Amino acid sequence: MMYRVAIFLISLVLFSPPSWSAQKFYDDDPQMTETDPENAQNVEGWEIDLVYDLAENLFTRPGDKTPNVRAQNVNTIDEVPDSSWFTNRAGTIQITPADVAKGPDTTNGPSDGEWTIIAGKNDGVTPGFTIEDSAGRKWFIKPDPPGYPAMSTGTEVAVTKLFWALGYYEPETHIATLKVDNLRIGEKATVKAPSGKRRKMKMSDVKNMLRRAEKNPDGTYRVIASLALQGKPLGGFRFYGTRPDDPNDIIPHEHHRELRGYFVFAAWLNHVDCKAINSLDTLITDNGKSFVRHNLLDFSSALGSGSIYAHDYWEGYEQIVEEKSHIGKDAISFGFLIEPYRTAPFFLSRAIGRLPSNYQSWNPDTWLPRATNAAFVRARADDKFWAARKVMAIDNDMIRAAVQSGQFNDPKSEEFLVTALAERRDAIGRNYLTAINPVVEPVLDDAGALTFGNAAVDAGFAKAPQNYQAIWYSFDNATGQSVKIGETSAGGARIQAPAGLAMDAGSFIRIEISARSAEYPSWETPVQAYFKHVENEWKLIGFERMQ
Amino acid sequence: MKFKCISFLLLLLIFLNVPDAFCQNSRAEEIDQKKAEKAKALKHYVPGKVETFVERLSRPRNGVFPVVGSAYSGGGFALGVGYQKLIGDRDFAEIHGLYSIENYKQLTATAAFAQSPIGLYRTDLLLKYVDAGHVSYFGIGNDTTEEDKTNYGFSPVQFRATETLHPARYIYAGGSIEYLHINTGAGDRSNPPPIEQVYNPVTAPGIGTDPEYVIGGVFAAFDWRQSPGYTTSGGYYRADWYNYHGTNNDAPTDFRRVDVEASQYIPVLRGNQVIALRALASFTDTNADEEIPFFLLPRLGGGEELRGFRSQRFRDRNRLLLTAEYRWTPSKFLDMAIFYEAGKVAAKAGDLDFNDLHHCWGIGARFHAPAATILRIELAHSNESTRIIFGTGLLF
Repeated sequence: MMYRVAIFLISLVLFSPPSWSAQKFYDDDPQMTETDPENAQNVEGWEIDLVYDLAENLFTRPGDKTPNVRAQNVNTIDEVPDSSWFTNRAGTIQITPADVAKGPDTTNGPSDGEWTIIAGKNDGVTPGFTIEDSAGRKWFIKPDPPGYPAMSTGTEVAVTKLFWALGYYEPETHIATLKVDNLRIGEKATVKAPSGKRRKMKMSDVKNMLRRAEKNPDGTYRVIASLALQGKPLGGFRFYGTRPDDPNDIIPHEHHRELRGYFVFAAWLNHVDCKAINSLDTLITDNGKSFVRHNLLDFSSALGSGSIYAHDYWEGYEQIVEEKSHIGKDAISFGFLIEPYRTAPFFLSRAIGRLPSNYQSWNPDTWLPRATNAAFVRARADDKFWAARKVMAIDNDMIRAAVQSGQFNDPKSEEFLVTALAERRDAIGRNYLTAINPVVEPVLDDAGALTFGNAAVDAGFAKAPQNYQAIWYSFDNATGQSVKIGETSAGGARIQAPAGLAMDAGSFIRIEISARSAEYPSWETPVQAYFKHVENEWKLIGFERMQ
Repeated sequence: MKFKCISFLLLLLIFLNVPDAFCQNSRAEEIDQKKAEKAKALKHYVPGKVETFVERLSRPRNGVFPVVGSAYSGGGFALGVGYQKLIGDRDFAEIHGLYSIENYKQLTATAAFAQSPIGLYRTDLLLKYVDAGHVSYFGIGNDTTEEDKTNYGFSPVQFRATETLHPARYIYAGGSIEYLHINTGAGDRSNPPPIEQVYNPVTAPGIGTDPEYVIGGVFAAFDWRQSPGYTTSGGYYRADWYNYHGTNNDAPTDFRRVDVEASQYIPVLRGNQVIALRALASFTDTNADEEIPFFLLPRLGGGEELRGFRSQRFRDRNRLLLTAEYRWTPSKFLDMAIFYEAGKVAAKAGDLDFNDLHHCWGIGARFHAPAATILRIELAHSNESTRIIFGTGLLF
């Protein structure tokens, strides 16, 4: 008897594993949180070279060469789980304008009293330094450029708040007032001279630095104060590949949806300087275990601000190096090939800088950062759809709250920014929510009624389609095979299941949902919704907008 | 015994084959397993060779660098090598040598020091030696012809100290003191003929002499261009005054020279096109009836002034040059231009009118960085010649 049992078990082991490992869904799907279980204590910092990074992204295509790859860090319902990269906020949880105005802030900014400078600023074109306030907290300080009071600092704060609302890890930022008399140079403070040599910092260095800053009438300086991020700085993250010494970093960055979707957010906020060195990985250790957190920072070249000047006209329209074909055509055109930004209307003010003022026909797909990156160029329609829903979740009151947190001190400019961001947001929704099948959030009740939303129609960017179609399948989770049950359709976003829907506990069904719209033929490509019958109800366990 | 063997085999099979299946009982376990797999093969990032090379190039440093340019006007394309030494915060010393396709040689040492951290002042030193074996000389005046061409040897050594003040936005002023020793001689080419076969001390004042001068100068400028190295808007207005004081028997004559320049840049369609205009005039004067050596006279012709004419084509006591360029910008790193120039030289300043101007025109491409022009390639045409010009730096 024991012998037969053993033979049976051996057979089971030999022949069963393929079917076990091929299953599409697990009981814990969809994953809403991704943890970092491995200890990343041995991750080393690196310094990304600006010139190499720009050249690599402008002239080559780093990362995975496979075309049209679906984002690999999405869960089974096509969403990005909370992780050390991203936290779902707008569009997922309820946030208010007050939440946006607060953003990542946990304090009221640097404390009054003496500020001890502990380091000069090593990179970027903006003058700045690092201080320790009287409470012992470390802050990075940057002023506004001459002639533009509030532009750079206000932009940094407002955009930080919005990127926080969208879900990224951000440093806490405040507008603060720098009084030169309250500054003290720390014993260990050094500065990198233009020659590249590092030496002890002197007060004359600070004063020379501040000559490139906008000075208030009372002799103080308005500055941005960014609280040092938690953990040990490791340098920026690249937009392709993985950090080879981080065990938890297993998905190539170009296949992260939140990094692909970053393109849409950058386009919305005209954040043209979204290069790798404007990110920062930090090593956070808790109870002896370490993980890497991935932060975005430095938004002073967003909206109308070019950080040390108002944005040039071409910013957002072109990269710093144009397409070769464009250069050739323009070279032989004798200057009569006129780019759109040469004639487009712009809003310009000392408070916010320069930003296009008309978004009637603005297409975010034509927007370009100074230099693109590997994640941006791989963003697919489903990545942009995901990002567009996040952007659409930021309502006008939230935008106003973020803009007001920038304290631009110019009501006309602030009003323009609120309007411009609302119009850019709507252009993003209009373009990306309509580009592919916009069916969202399907729900199947026990009576077999399938209801869902239409993100494009619900946002008012498209008319309701003529009808919706659903093709119903029973789905074998072990083999991935589907067997058609039937087809049903309806004029609205509620479709009844055909007869014969299995209601057994643990059974799966797959539904292909498409829409027929004369205006948007792409909606006929169905989305795939997977439901599992658990605890006497249908649970959405899978969703695929694009294969 | 048999059963134990089978049990062992079973456990072995389970151990070897099943872990994947067990580890994939949940999505979280599946992901965690991939991370555990990576944890077994961690390695630190090592930059590739190209990245390392670019990183080294892009940081300021001491060391050797290649030089492309011109050894002396008319010497053609030159290549060389230089060495730079950084001193302190922002001071530097540099030496470079150039050798041209016309066998011209140049050795230059420069240093910038005592610089204000915010650009209020700076001191520059220059030590320069040139050996140009066959510089063109066509005679003096606006009516010389190409048939008048001869060549002479020209080998100056100069040492100059310049102090530049920048007391306010747009405003520059300063002064310089210079020692200049010039060796001249017969040209090393037989065709065109050496200068002494055609000209004499009357038609070529200073011929065959080796004069020495101490030159004092002052200048003032109003500069509201975007940068001195490249601009699409603004203007540049400058006046220089120099006093040449002869200090050896070959330079018995003191003389003075004034250069004035006005450049204006008018952007069209937000800089899509730029109308660039320049007027340049030079004036010299001496004590009564005294001469200025021909090789120190203001001149026109060559890669920077009246580009359709040969190098140093026209010389006289005074000169006038008018330039208009229509520039367009196919790229943020490439400008194209169509240009027209008119100029003349004259014995008297009052003769610098618009009569008898020499004309040329051309087309060019300029490769530039945001604040520096790196390379000019131009095709220039006049009634005497069509020339291809390679140049470095901003023309105006």
